[in-house]
Amino acid sequence: MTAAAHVEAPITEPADALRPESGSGHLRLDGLTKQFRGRTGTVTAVDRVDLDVLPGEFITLLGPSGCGKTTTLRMVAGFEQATGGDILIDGKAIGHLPPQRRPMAMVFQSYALFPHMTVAENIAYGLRLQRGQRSKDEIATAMRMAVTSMNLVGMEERSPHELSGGQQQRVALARALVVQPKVLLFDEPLSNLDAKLRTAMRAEIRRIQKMFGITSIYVTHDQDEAMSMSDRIVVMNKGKVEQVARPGEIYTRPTSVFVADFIGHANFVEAAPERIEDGVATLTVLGRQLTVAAHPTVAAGANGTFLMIRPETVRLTPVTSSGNGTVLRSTFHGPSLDYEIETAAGTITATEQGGDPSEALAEGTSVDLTFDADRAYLLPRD
Amino acid sequence: MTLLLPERAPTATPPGARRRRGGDPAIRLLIVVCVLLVAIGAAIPLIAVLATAFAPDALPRYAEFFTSSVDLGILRNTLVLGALVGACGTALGFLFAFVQTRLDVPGKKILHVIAMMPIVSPPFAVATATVVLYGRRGVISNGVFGLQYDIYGLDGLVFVLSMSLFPVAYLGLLGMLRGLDPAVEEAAMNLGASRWRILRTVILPLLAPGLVAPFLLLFVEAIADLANPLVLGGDYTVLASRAYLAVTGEYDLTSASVYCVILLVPSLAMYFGQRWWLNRKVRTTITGRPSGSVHLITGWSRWPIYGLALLVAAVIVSLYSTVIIGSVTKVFGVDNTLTLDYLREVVAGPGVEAVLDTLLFAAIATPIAGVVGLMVAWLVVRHLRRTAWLLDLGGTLGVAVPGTVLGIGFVLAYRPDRYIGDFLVFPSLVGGSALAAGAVSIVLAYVIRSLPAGQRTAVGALTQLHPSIEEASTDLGASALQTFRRVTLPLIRPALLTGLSYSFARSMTSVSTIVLLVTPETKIITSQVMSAASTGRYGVAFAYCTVLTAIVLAGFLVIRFIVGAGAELHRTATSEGQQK
Ligand SMILES: Nc1ncnc2c1ncn2[C@@H]1O[C@H](COP(=O)(O)OP(=O)(O)OP(=O)(O)O)[C@@H](O)[C@H]1O
Ligand SMILES: [Mg+2]
Repeated sequence: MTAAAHVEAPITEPADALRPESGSGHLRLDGLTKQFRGRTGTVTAVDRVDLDVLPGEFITLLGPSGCGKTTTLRMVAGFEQATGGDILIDGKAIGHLPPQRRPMAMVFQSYALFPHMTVAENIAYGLRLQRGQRSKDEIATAMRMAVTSMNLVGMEERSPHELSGGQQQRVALARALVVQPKVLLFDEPLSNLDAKLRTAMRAEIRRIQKMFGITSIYVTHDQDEAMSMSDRIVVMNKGKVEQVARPGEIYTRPTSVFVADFIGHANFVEAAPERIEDGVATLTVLGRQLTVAAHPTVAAGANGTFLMIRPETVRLTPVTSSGNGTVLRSTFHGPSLDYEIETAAGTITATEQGGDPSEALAEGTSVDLTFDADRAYLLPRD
Repeated sequence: MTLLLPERAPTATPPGARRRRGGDPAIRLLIVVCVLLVAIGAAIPLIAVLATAFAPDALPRYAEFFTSSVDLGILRNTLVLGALVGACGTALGFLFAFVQTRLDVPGKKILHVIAMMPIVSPPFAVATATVVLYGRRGVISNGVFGLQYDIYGLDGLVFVLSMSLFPVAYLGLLGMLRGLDPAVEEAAMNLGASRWRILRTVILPLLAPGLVAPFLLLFVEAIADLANPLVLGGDYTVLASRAYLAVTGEYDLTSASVYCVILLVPSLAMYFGQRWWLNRKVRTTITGRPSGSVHLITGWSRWPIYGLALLVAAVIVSLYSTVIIGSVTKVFGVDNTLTLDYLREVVAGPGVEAVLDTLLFAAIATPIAGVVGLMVAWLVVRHLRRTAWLLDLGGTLGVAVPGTVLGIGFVLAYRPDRYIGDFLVFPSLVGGSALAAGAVSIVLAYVIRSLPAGQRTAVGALTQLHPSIEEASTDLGASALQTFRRVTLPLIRPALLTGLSYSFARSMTSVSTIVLLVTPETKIITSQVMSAASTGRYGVAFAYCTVLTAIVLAGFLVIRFIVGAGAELHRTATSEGQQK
């Protein structure tokens, strides 16, 4: 893999191709803040979040537990009242509207299907509420379309508990879609499904979302899910937005040690850049001088900057003497073989794809450790 | 909280259980003790009633009953009363539960306490206070509004019974409303439904199955009630009071038994209907993990609902204050001079005997009922398979069978001495020449009447407790009883606490069975209240009720002290943790 492709300014605007023709469903969060006042003091669950979600875009909120993803989503839906900032749809502020009057539909983690209604009644529930604007026939047509596009034909008269988890999930999605919301909201909708089904449903949700071109916000703490589904990912930490970018960029060009560490695995080697030119830093790591891409805020001579090295970019060559590292331990994971290498710069993890455990380097082996400088990235201290 | 697992733990006994039961003599002994107690206290009296009611000389009475317009009127009265109290009590329970869980209003804690007050209410207290406040010359109805309202009859009975019984419905519906997945309501809200529409299309339909059980339970309790029809019934006779009159006024045990059987049919049908209904597999949520949060109603529409609940609460408070004020004034509403005569009569005069007797009997009966209830529950949930339902049924007879019927059963079964040849095998337990002046039968009646309370709560707690925790203990070599004592008991301590408290309150306030068993030597508070109330000595009646309530509340504290408040065990507790 070559490096040049990756040295580019961080992308914050989504590609034009994602904009739907209609041009509606533009969601903006403007300094959105939520503080919970409890007995033990005030918790700032969401801290001045700014976000611009373009029409038709699929955005994922990703972050560790308790970082405020759900709270953000529930403020957008109107279930929580924001304590600061505003929410705008197509330029109109909706922060003061109750959930009933917001043009959004939510898919809940527990699906929240109405257990006393059939599949058809569940799907038609939102449509019936708009009876003023819709005739019976229209409702029936919309319902049938939703049932067909969601592969639920033949299950209309079943009760929700007569469906499998995946089917319930599809009913929940259908129920949200038929009301033609401007924004679809998902709160960890796949977390109750088993691994195989989860993967299938990811593709299904994405297919439907693209088909209808609905702006979507998707909350998850599963980075794999976020990577494979999103147009852009919003990484959150302690109520704040850490980075908003496309999945590839989040992985290769994280803007903070937190993001680099949270997404996938990363080694961090403390290194001071000797020179910086056009976002390319020259520095010395493990006795070798290298040039690597650097985060725009990193300055020459700055101390405490970290070089992010992904384990899969590390290469090991066994040597008889004077290597720059020693094998501490090897772990077999099936598709890959992981090594922990002791070096002058600390312990570094290396991943060998398709490694054979029977030929693994023995503990104590002296190795020469190199890594792909094109795929390393210099980050400022958090 | 006991150790709760998210899914309902399987109730089926593990495969090893049957082997264990056969091998453990302690459990066999336990089964024998429980079965004997239930047989003597509930089954035999019930059989005695049935035997008398279906004896050849009783059979013509049925023809009389079903052709007599008076008797048919009594049957109709009974059913109408049950249906009205069931409906009103359930509605009141729903009102309070809805206010509690869905309205953004102040004072909900106090409202909860007020709604719970009737649980410890002594019988007659509410009825007597109602007469004083809302009767023809009532302090409020006449004194404030200038009405001459005749409270005696169906209206008074429905009022008093609904007020006294609705906490059961309230508690059930409160749990159910709290158990609804809030995300379901949020989903409706999210799709554009208004609050009123959510109530109509989501909450009420989801709760509808849950309204049936309290309705049936209140129905059973209402038609079984004897105290209120005696004080407030007026011309409105129901089967329970009719049967009571047949025993005490006409000394006609045969027709009493016939009335009992006719009362038993709807009672048992409704009671077991209710249990069947509760045991059906109903799904109120679709998947585990409820999410979202409850959104309290903040709009103007909360005020009328809240106002209604406040009004009811005010009525409840007025009734209970009347009891207390009535016990320290000469004639409340007429002559409001303070006096301690009534209280003195109860705690330092002729009444003290009744207070001490009642306390003693209840103090004996409560631990027995609590422990037996727990044992029956444990046997039913863990150690019996095919016969479990029989023991479970036996244990709940004390509440399924109306107290009057049970009392008449005691009279029929245990009044005569039983001889085999010349040999006295079973001495008389009821009546003038009874063993220990009838104390044995009173304690027995207390136990049987209050056993179901403990049994129900324990069954509930045990079914929530995953059997693997007990299995872990048995695996480590503990016998079944050791496991129970060291592992199960500590985990269900809160249920035991509730069960014992209920048992004590039920014993102290029990009246319908007891009035048939008291003898001149054994006086019981509730029967003293009844004679005071029916002779118009309201001050004394109120004084007894006040003292009774004080004793019950003190009893709760003592039970709490003895049992311990119940260790707070959390979900994260593991079976290994419990072994230490
Ligand atoms: N009702 C509440 N009252 C007080 N604090 C709350 C409330 N709801 C959430 N919080 C706090 O706000 C923070 C963010 O919670 P939130 O549910 O948004 O996290 P999350 O990112 O969705 O986490 P998870 O991945 O575990 O679902 C947490 O610290 C949480 O404790
Ligand atoms: Mg969450």
